[in-house]
Amino acid sequence: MSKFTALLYKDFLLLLRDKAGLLFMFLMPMALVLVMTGMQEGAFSSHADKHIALIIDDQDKDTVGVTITRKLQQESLFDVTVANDAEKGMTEERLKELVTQGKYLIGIYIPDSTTLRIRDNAANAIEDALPHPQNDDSTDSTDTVTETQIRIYIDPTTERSFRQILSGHIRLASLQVEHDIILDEISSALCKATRQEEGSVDLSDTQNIDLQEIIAGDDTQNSMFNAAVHNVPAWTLFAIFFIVISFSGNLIKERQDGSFARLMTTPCSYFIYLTSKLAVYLTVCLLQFFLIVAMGIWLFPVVGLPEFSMAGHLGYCLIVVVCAALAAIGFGMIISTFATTHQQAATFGAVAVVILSAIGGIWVPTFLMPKFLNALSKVSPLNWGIEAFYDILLRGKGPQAFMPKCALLLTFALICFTIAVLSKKKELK
Amino acid sequence: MESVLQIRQLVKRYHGMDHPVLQGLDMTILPGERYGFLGPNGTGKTTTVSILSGLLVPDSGEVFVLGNSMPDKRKQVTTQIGVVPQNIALFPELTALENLRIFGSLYPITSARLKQRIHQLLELYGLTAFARKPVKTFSGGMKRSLNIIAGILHEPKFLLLDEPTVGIDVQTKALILDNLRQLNEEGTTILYTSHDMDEAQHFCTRVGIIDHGKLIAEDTPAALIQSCPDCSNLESVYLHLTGKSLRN
Repeated sequence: MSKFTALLYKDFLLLLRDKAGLLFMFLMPMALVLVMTGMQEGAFSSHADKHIALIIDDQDKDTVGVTITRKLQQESLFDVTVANDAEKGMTEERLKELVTQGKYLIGIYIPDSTTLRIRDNAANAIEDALPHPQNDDSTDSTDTVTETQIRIYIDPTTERSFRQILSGHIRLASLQVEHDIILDEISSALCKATRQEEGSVDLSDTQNIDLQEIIAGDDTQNSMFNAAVHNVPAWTLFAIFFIVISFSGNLIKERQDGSFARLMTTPCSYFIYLTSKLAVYLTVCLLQFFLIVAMGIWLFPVVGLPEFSMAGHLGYCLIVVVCAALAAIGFGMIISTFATTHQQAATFGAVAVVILSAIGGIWVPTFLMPKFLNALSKVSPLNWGIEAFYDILLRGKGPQAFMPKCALLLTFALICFTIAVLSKKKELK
Repeated sequence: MESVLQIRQLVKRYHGMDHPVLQGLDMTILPGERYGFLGPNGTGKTTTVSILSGLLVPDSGEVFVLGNSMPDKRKQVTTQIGVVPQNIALFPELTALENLRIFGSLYPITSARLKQRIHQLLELYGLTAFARKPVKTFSGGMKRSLNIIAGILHEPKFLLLDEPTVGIDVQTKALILDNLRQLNEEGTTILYTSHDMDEAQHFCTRVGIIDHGKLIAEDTPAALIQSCPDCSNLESVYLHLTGKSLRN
């Protein structure tokens, strides 16, 4: 055995004998990725899959009521119950009560004559707007605009942003109906004004603005944000950085029991000593990555979670993993340099990694964070890692996009190694 | 005869301490000696051993180990010396065999010879039956024995022993000292630190007593006893020279 092989053998054996450490390094992140993906799947998944219980009480029974009911029924987002089908003699109060009781997440009340009021309002507005050469007094119309109000009752436990999404859907449906009615009235008024046959002017088939959603990125074939595409790389990074506890603990233990000093009295150099540890923990990080990715690919679909896809970018992902692993190992070295006991290193390491991961966008993506946390996330090495993964997996970018983040990770690693080695030299003196 | 160890005016000061721990230490050890390096706590014994083994860099002075200047020729020195530290510097989770394979592989020794040495030394120290057991399950004496084996696997020319028999029973101590004597007879020069004056008197061919960072006496145990009036053994010589006040 060469010196390097001997130390490698030693470090692998020590790692394999540390059952608790192995559990921390492998089982914990695997459990976390599964649990967190499951929890976040609801938040990140398309709202179209949700089937929200909605009750609609259409007292209008005209175009507005019928069209809104039909449009909402067509949307897979909602499970629509028509009030009269659920209960005879439904009132607005009863509808509100059903929502309050949590039987329905949303209740919509469309008052009687809503369509009529919209039509009247539109007709009056058009009549006022058109010139009346025969009768100049007509501009002094005394018709008033009648308020039309569709009331939406929402379960108070509904989260604000989700409430806005739901209201938006319903508002869109009602605006479309209102828009159609107004166009219909304008068409009719134009026919009258130009003395054409009723129906000869039809504005309803005018081209609407078409919104086209395009995902910005170079390779967008697989780039849809979901819980898997966030959590698999995110928890891989967390697992990689969590090795600082085992790594720094291992260094401190060897320093405390004198085995490090003994190794340094042999022809083995500090460089070889560190290189063997680096090789072992780099292997651990790669194993963590492959295990978590394997879970994402094969286990997630089995338990009903979105399948993880690397979109054919395994090589790029491995570059990020190696850079993150070096940064984590460097961080572990720094912790072992300044901590005097294993407990200190474990406590500080765990707290530091949890904080860096939280602000780095591992637990929840940074775009969901408040502004100051979003800005703070830029200092977390875990954020550099997750952003590099996003570049590869979501934005479909090449090395020119993710390599600067990898360079940050490597710089961080280099700074940590330098501080640790200088501190070691100082200790020698 | 070329000395195994030559130390001239060695000075070492630790950060934050008022006085240097070594204040111009001079010392010479000749081949084949079993040199007892004795002194109260905190007088620089372990610091000297650490400098000789390359763990510490001296502030000033000259150190030649087997003709090589330290720390400049650290690599040449570390291949030829063996170090048995005061604490059990082994990997407790690993078996005796794994520990010895790892430490042995760090020295320039062939695999076949290493295997032979491991077998031979485990037998000599009565540990063959425990070779595949984790070190953490060993008794204190077994750990001490293994600690020594790990330092002599590569047949060093010069062996540094820092209190190798501390905290073990009489039988194990006798076994260890017998084996060290045999090793010395086979050609290994030994530097040995201890607080056990009786052990030093019987084991060492020459002793040096260090106090306040300097060697204050050096001779064979018999000559030192003879030179001290009213002294009947090495312990009384030691107390006569270093005093009875507590040191730490």
